Amino acid sequence: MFVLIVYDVPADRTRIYRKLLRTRLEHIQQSVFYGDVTPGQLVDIKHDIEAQLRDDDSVIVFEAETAGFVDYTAYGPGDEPGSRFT
Amino acid sequence: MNENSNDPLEEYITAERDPHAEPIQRITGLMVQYYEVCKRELWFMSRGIDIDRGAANIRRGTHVDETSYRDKRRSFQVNGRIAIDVLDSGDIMEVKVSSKLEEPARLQLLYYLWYLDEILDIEREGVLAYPRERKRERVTLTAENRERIESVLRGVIGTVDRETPPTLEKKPVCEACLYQDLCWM
Amino acid sequence: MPNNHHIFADGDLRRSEDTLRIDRLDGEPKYLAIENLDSLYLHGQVTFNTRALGLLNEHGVPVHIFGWNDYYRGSYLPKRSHVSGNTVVEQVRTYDDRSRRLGIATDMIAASIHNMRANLRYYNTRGHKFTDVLDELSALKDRAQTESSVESLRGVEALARKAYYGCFDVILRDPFELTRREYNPPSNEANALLSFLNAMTYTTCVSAIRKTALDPTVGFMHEPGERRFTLSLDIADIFKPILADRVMFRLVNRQQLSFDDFESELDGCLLTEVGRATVLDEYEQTLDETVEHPRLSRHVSYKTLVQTDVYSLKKHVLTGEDYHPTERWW
Repeated sequence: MFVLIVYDVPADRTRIYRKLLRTRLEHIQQSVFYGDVTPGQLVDIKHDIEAQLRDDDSVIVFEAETAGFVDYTAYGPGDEPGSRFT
Repeated sequence: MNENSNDPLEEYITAERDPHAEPIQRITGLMVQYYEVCKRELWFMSRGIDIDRGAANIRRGTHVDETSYRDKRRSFQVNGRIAIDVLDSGDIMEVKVSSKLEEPARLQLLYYLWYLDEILDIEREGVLAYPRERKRERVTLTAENRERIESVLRGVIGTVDRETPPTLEKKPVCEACLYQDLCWM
Repeated sequence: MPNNHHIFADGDLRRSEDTLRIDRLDGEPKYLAIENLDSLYLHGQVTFNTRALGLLNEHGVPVHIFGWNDYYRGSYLPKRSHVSGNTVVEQVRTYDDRSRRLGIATDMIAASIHNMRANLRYYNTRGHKFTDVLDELSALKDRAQTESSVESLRGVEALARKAYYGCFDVILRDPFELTRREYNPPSNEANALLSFLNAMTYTTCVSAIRKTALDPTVGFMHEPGERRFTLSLDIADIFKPILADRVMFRLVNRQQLSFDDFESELDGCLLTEVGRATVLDEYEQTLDETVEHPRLSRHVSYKTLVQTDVYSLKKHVLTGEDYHPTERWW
């Protein structure tokens, strides 16, 4: 599944979400994570987010059944999302 | 039935009641469920034929869902065999995400009630809960239910004892089954 | 689905905040999502410590190491969390049972020849005439069924491979030439390309076997004691026509590679780093290609086909149900 997660949380809490999302998704920009995951993994991720959530935290999860359904255009420097090469 | 009978269930009960004995094959609640859902899956599972981490991730997140209700009940391990959740009322509760697989869940609960009664001499009633659907159902070990669960348990023992897996059969549950890729290849 | 990741950069591989971090000599540090990683490939100069290895271990991620002069150096296989002793016992029993071992080896060779033949059939309809070789491969596939020892089966396989490789030079667009298969070291560009792709196919099989409880060192076609994982060599032979040969034809014939992507040294010919990246890009895309699977009634990727092939073998070993090595049906 295609997943894009963006968040806007108090500065001292960004680390929590970054750490939580980094193990399963690609950190493509400041508070933006992207990935192609299994439905089971997405359930896990959502559970983990719910467990961390506080009143001031805003997190949005975009999802699509297949990563192939989503097109993107990338400008500027930076790795292509989903690149398998470093 | 008498001591000399060859009823595998009698042998099982005898072994379970004896604190110094151990049944050849322990029966778990999950095995009872599998027996109802797919005997082939039960056979694979009883042999410890494992599924890799990739396959486990692919499947729907139902397993994860079920664990998310854990904090609302008190869980007990009974003889390392069954893990039951007890409500404050003393009833045994089994939580399911959806009522789609109602019968297997009911049988699993019946097995717990039967085990408590038959092996440990504890009489209890059960509650089958589907929090998502706001549905609850009482389950009692009536004479009829006792007969049913005992025939299932004989079936479980028979299946697990087989040398080879039960024959392949296409079922609707195949698509969501962890063993699909092993089973059909 | 977890994906492979290839590191060409030089640098340090570390564990950081429960995932992998690469501190590159050039460029920003980069994080890899450990839970979405199938296998890690190291192509550059990478140092790592036990904490990084521990993390890979916890998540069951194999590491395949490719060197500069020698394409494939070896693999680091994480230990399995649930060792199923029973599976290994049954695998060795099956190996030790002459007729069961022969049965598996026969199925493997038949599938391997089938897949070679499928490639030639494809190019036969595209301006080449391979009728004679196609017939020869059919006959060899039949003959494989009648052989009574693994040694003689290997002879049949060698004949098939010779006939098959004999067509490569015709299929490959000039200036690429493959008149003789030479490796160790590869003597020219086409040989270098094929060696690299064969090594990749082999590592794909190593990763797939690692996910089951089968022991990679006990093969059925190859004799244990060879220096590599013999079960991986067995499975790789089935998939080489699909994952290595076909990818090579595509890369060469669409002119995605030129001789500039290779460098000749005293001890043979090698792909440059740019060349390797081009090949790996195509290889990874091929692993992702999907086909409708008649037995699973869903679309599966080529990578999954390697996995289900190993599952099928494992099931055969444990239950005696038929082994279905992958024969191209699409």
